[in-house]
Amino acid sequence: MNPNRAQRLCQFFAKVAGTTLFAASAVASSVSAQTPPPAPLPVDDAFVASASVRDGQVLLKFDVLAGHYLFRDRFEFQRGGDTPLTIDSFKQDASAAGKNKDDPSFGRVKVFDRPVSLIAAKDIPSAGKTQLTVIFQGCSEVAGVCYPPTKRTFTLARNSRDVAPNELAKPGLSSMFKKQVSGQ
Amino acid sequence: MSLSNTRRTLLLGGAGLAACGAGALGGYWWLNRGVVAGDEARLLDASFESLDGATLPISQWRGKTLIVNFWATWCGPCREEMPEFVQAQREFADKGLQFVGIAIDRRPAVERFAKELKVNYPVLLADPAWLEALKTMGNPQGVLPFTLVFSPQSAVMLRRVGKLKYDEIKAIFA
Repeated sequence: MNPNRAQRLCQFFAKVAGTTLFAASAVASSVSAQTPPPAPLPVDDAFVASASVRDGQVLLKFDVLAGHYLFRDRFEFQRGGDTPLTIDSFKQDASAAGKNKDDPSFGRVKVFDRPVSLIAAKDIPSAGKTQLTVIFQGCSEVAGVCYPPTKRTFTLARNSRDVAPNELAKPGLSSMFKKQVSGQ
Repeated sequence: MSLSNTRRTLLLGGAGLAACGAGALGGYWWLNRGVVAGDEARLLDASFESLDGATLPISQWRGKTLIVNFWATWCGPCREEMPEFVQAQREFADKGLQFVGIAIDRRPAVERFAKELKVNYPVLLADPAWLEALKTMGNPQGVLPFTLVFSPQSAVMLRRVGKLKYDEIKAIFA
């Protein structure tokens, strides 16, 4: 090959390479500058729910993790096949009033951004079990996401304390043993 | 031209060629990273009801840079990011960008919000069961907003749980 032609060809490749590297680094830096938000937690870790029965009424406790909140007016409680009830169906204590939040989309809304206990049912019978379902909805400010409305059901007796939702119940040892033995 | 100069030029040219090759390979990786065959295929093959009642297949937008945004009116961050999507759709439509919003929500609320925001891309409605399906597409908690960016070859370019910003969309077309 003619040395001058080879030189021009090489200079061309060098220029193309320089331009490619510059463009690639510019794109990479502009995209990497956008740090994605942290991954959201499972809903049951962000809002840890438990239920207790005291003086014939069901108290639902929600441990709201820092950086998260629950919408006060999106709670619904339902016992058995009864009509769903709202928070205001019961005479709640002051902590259940919630805190004002200026939401860019919804305006001023009441939220719970710290642990809260709510009365969710009254007149629990002294014998037998009661099923209570709660629907709640909240968001994670740290992850910039909202959880869809979540339904959790509790099976409660007159003396139940800090019962976890049925959905989180782990199979007991006896049922695991039964499964292994019976092969079912 | 001295021999050393020729050598130096050849070396420089060789390095240039190598850099071009590395750039091409890097570009291929960049466009195809994160591709998981199968999970998103269900979405690309699905059809959804539009606000005017028609059933629209997602496959009609193959060949475009397709951004599918799952949202709901009850989700504040979803509502906050959508004006930037409207802007991006307006600015990058001629570069092949196609936004599609899939609302997992009730029709009246979606219609009201889409009209209020003057959304300039198709808004479709999905059954809440799609929240479960999203868990296999890179959104294990099934939260909103959730956005998938597909290349014109239908490869997943980006999965975003949370807000997608205008600058990130702009970077795709830079």
